[in-house]
Amino acid sequence: MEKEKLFQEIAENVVEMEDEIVEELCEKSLEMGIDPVETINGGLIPGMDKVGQLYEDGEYFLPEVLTASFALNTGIDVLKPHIKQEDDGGKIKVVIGVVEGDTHDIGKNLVKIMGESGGFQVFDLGRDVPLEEFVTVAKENNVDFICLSTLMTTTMGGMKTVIDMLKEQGIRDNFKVIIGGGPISQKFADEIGADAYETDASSAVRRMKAMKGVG
Amino acid sequence: MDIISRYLNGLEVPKDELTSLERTTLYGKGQAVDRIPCCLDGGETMSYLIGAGIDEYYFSSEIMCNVEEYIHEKFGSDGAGISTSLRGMAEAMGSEIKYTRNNVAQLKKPALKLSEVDNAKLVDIDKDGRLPVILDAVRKVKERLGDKVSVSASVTGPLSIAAMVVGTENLLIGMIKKPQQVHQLMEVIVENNNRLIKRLVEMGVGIGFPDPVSSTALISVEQYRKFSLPYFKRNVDYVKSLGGGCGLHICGTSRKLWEDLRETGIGAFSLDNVEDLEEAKRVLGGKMGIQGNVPPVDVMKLGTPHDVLRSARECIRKGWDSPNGFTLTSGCQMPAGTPEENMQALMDAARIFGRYPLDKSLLED
Ligand code: B12
Repeated sequence: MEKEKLFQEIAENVVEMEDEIVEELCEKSLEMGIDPVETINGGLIPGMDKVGQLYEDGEYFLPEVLTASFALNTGIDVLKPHIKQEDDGGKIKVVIGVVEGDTHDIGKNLVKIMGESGGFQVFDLGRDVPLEEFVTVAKENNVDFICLSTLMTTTMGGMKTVIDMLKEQGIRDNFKVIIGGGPISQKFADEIGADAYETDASSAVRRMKAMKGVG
Repeated sequence: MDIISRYLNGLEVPKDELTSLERTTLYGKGQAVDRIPCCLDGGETMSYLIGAGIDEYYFSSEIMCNVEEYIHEKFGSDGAGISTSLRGMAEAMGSEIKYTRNNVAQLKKPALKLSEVDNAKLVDIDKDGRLPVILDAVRKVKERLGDKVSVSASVTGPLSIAAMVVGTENLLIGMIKKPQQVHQLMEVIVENNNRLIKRLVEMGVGIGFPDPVSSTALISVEQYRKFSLPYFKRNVDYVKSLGGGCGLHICGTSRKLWEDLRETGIGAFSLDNVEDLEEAKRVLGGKMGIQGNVPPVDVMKLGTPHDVLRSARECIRKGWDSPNGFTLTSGCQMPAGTPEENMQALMDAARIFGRYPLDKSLLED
């Protein structure tokens, strides 16, 4: 089977919520020697995008979306151990989480996985994270980057609050703040004074390395 | 100056002429009353009114009862009620709940996985979880307030209980991956609810079913018909077979379920503020009372008394002539920290705008 066809099948089976088939197909991608990161970006994520569309069109409801998320995660579990481990990013420390009020964590988990594969040390705070926690954990561990994720317009404001808290405590310049997620844009990042915005997990990792002058 | 600006500024609010119990009883029979009924929808989030923590509230029938007494005596709310809370039954079935002083309790650990549904437990309402405390509170409220105000208790909708027994995400995935196990769990929950219902009807209180997980924000109409409605119906049928009465509240969107609700035999539907009262009157009003729907957060908690009056006036304008009656209330439970002036304003809105004979000119902007 050729790669494009395989990716298409993976995407379709995420949409059809067939976790077992997704699992098999992801194993197959490994056998075929395809870079797991490519399979995530070319198969799993486009599948989830389609799920998002069906949800918006009122054809899918949360049970379908959740079950599709579960299928996607099954695929990621298969691919994750095979993502090329780099160690050039070894000195980079990152705290990451989904801001308070939001429980969408698939995208955040991808950034985390890609970061870890890039050799970062990642402190994952999970989802629906109280805003102060980002600041506390960043200080405690003296991290380089604070990564904030959210998929909802209603919780975007929390990102600004985190930056404001850093300013109030006079430690804004100790950390770089990177933001991402569906409704986030470069414009929003500029508005709230974040250091960077990225659209996907791989670019996020590349950007952080570039900002630290590694890789 | 318009009437709303005159409120708290010299406007005289008409006094109630009936007790709450007289009012709701007469109104329920379609007879003349002094004003439209109005209920303050509180429960655990109102514990701060008497200086108690939310966590203390859950474990003390005395505090529960005192909150209801306070709300009735201070504001004249037309209903007093004790809530099983969304997690009460799930806790009795073995879920672990986390209690904190300033927040509504949360599910900490589900009672079981769907794959372990054979272990789903039939409860003893006199022993398990907080059910004995809740029943004791209902008894106290009935004893102390029962001659003045109609008393009710909540029995959580079966699907919402299931969400707290296995975890919401697991339940929703289960609808697709393990439908048989979900049905099996629902059977046990129906029986558990019926045990509670039997006792409550014997105590002579009305029953309210809150069922947030049945909202179409979460599930489709087909999923509702498959996994929620048949089980809810069996609880409702049981209430009615015992001679009791009941109502339903669904948080969030629910419009697409209303045609189905018409046929359930419930006595009242309380709608969230995301739905429209006018529409509820049209679709449901011929079959049941309707209740609602001042926004609990934006208006009741964060607004001013004048905002409350404006919002309540709109509700009354849309709802007052609903064929089986209308009760003014918030679109969902009021959050902790809702100012008492705003609760007073909601009650006063019923006294000002809902005064019979209704002065329709007051209802226009
Ligand atoms: C899956 C999903 C869910 C799942 C989440 C499961 C989980 N554990 O995450 C479930 C079913 C639980 C869910 C629930 C809800 N959802 Co939802 N959900 C989605 C859906 C369909 C896909 C999201 C997703 O996972 N995409 C795939 C991942 C890989 O993409 P991603 O997260 O964007 O991440 C990529 C980039 O953004 C970037 N990135 C992400 N984070 C970061 C961080 C940094 C620092 C950087 C640099 C980059 C970066 O990298 C990632 C990939 O490379 C979207 C629709 C959509 N089209 O996006 C709606 C959507 C996000 N949900 C929405 C809503 C409204 C809800 C609910 C409120 C529904 C409800 N009524 O209950 C609840 C929210 C509960 C809460 N308070 O959080 C809305 C949000 C609308 C808004 N206000 O903005 C959306 C947009 C759908 C819609 N159009 O209405 N949802």
